[in-house]
Amino acid sequence: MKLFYCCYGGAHTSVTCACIHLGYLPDDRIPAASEFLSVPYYDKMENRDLGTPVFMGRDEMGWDIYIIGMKNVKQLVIPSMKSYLNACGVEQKGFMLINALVELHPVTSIGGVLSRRFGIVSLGRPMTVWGIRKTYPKFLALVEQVKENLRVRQELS
Amino acid sequence: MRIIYYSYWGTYAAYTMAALHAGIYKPGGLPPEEWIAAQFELCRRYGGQYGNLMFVGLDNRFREVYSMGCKKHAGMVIRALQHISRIFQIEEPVQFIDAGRREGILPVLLQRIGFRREKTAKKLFTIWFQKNYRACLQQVQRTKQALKDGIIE
Repeated sequence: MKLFYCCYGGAHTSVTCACIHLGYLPDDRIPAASEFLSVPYYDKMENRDLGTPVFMGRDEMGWDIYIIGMKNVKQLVIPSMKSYLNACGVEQKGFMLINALVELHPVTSIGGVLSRRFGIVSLGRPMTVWGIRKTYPKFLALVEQVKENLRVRQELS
Repeated sequence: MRIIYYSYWGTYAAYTMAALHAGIYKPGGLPPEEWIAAQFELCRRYGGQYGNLMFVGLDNRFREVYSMGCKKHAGMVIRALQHISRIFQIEEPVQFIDAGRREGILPVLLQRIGFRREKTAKKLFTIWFQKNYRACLQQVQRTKQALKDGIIE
């Protein structure tokens, strides 16, 4: 069973969601900036690696959690993944894609562009952390919803 | 093995090459008019669909041949599919063949302006098809040879 958190660059929002999901980031408080920086793959995905799913860990229900950056062409990459799996005869019950692009603070977006596109990491990375901390409850809500969904699926199956 | 011909649109050069590879279009000459009309209809209906794999047929070695449209993001789509293969332990290899260089400007015109004037659009499509058929055929023959020689694995 594989779950993919998708976002634009695969560097901030999807990583944050995956880390909350896996317990690398707390779900009862807003983490300190230093906690973000110690998270694996935070603000690390290079443009040339977009489209590459990165394994983040396995959750308590047995789902393998991945992150993937798809720029602004989710509507192209997702059908290609699904139709490919379909062509290969892979059962898609155990395959889930979650849009991790929650309503972001503009500072996160600006920081992401500075860090990932222009390589100004020293300025961009702290900006992304600041912005994500501001909208952290939205990430918590999304992950909680996903986990609830997975629990219901598990009960039904 | 799966062979995927891809380009910006999945129904023009990519489909033509896939059909040639699968033996639906014959190397001897242009396919019958109604087949060209059928591909035109395919473009009209599904030209704007991106990402979906279209199964075209099996080649003489029973390899599955597909076409796919992936705009300018072929690199990202290919990376995603190759990794998905590994993640889901799909052992059958997949080969991606770029058909984009044979596409030219006419498909852009048809897709952007639309197919409102059907007669003109059909004529333009036929011109595009006749002009590019030979080049598509040559590329398919080169690809088949490379697959045979193991240059592409």
